[in-house]
Amino acid sequence: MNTIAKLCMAAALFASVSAAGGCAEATSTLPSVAAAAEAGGGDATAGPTGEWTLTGGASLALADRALRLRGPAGEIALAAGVVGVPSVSEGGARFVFARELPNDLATEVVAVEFLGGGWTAPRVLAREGTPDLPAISPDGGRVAFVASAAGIASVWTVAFDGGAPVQLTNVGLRADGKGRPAGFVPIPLRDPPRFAGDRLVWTARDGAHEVTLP
Amino acid sequence: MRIIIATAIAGLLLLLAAPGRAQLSMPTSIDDYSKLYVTAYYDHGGTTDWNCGTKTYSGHGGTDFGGGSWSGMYEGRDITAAAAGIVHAVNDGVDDTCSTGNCGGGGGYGNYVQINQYDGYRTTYAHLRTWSVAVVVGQIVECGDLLGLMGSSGNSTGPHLHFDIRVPGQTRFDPFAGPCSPTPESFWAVQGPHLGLPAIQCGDPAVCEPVALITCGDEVASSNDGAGSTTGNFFYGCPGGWMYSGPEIAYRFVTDLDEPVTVTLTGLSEDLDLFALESAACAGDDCIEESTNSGTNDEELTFEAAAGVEVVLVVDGWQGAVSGFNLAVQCEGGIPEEDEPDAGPDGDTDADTDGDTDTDSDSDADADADGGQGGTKGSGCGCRAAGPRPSGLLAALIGFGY
Repeated sequence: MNTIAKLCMAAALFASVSAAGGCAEATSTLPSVAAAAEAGGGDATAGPTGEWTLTGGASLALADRALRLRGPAGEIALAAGVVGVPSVSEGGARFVFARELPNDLATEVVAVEFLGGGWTAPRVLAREGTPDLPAISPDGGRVAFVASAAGIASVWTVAFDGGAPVQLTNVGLRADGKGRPAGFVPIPLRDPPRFAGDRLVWTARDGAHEVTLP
Repeated sequence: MRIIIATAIAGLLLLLAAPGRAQLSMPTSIDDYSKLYVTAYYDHGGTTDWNCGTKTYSGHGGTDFGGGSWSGMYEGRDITAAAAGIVHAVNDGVDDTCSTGNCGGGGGYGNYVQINQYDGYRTTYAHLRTWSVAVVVGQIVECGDLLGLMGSSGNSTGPHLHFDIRVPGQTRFDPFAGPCSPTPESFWAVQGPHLGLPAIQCGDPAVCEPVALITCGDEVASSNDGAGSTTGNFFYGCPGGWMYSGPEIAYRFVTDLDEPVTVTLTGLSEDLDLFALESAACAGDDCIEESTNSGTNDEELTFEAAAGVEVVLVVDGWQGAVSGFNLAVQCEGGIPEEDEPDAGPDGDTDADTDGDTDTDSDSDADADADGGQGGTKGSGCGCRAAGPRPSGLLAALIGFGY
């Protein structure tokens, strides 16, 4: 069986769309935060909203932490409990996003791609350490994300096709309950890491950071 | 078929073996208790909280406690374990200045601690301040142990604690019980009123520990955080239901006459309040009378003392207040009970000289003079008067002069 299962609903919806035909440039819109800051603080409420252009005239729409895949023939509910915003490859044939699992304090980064005339079902790329802030490389071959490693927020990468995630920052550090460990490299402050050639770059509160991809 | 039936029975047994009710303490320290407040409860659908109010938002699966926004965060707000257990997961290193609700890190929970409680539940403490996490995975924590500090890491709109509870592997539920919550009985040790706070109470309810025995005409100059003070009591069973987070100090009082007794509390530099309790058990439901004036105003209460029956007088701080005070007891005199050869209503004829009081809870119908008012700070308690009066013999044996 193909390791990438076909998303049958999407296949029906998008069967007329070819991978190469009519694909607009993927242009992610900046999400707007629906939740105004609450006096005294609160969790994210409705979460960010946004719309992203995919291949074949399809698009992704995010609202109320639910992701919907829209095509010429209609739309499907792709995921609920989405954390943050999706990241779409150039050409819009692949995208990744993080979603929350309902039965524990857990999230997972999942991948979806347009393959063989249809969209694949979401496939888990990472689940350990409450991963989020995923970013896909422009060519769609690699994914970066943030996850906890030994109790410390760190930057990771994994191939879009799967495999074991590789920790890129804070390797060997462990949370000891005594504050910031020596050598700690902070995770991105807001936006996911960005692919720049053979490097990942991001901005933290203390400035810019980068790491060379394996 | 037998295997299927056995599996089904095993599953049923597992369901039946679900953990019982937890006993959660408010997850903060006594120093920070009065500085916290609820910003959002668990959403039961339609943005309805456990009390059928609207202090929640759509889909919220926990309880959010605020602590004075950014200034409070930088001042420091302790987050402590609500119950004993073992640390299941932690995350730290996420920036704690998120105000957009969309900063990411820790799966949106930022810096967090998750505890597998011994009672079978799993609790999560999220959005903690950067590098404040004070525990490691596998560490045993007791109720009240420091876990970290309140922050605004992850998907947060401002400094707060997100607290939630679940059975491992199941969805979260509301620990508050109320008319719009399916939770049949509160999971908090003391839930407190809607929009109030649960009590900090680890283990069995705290008891008063009176530091001295006083009687008519006595005056005491002390402080509510002086020697012998405690910080365990939050409620005294008065209808107003206010929570007192300051340290408290207690005194035993007894007189040998049936008489009105007036107690005054003066010389305050902060807001202390005064309670007369029925027994030294101080179980939170034995209020006789209270005086809860605001600020540094003097406090005064009057109750009908029964000869030989001990009353506990408690001086407690409102919202953590600490102050010196002068406590004075004036008895208005009365007709001493005649010595009778038979015992009182409870048949107790023992000479109780160790300070333990008769805790029979029968109340005298003639003693409830005020009528309960409740509701706002400053109202009278109007609770029951002291319990059954012992015989004159007991009073004589106790032998306090007047």
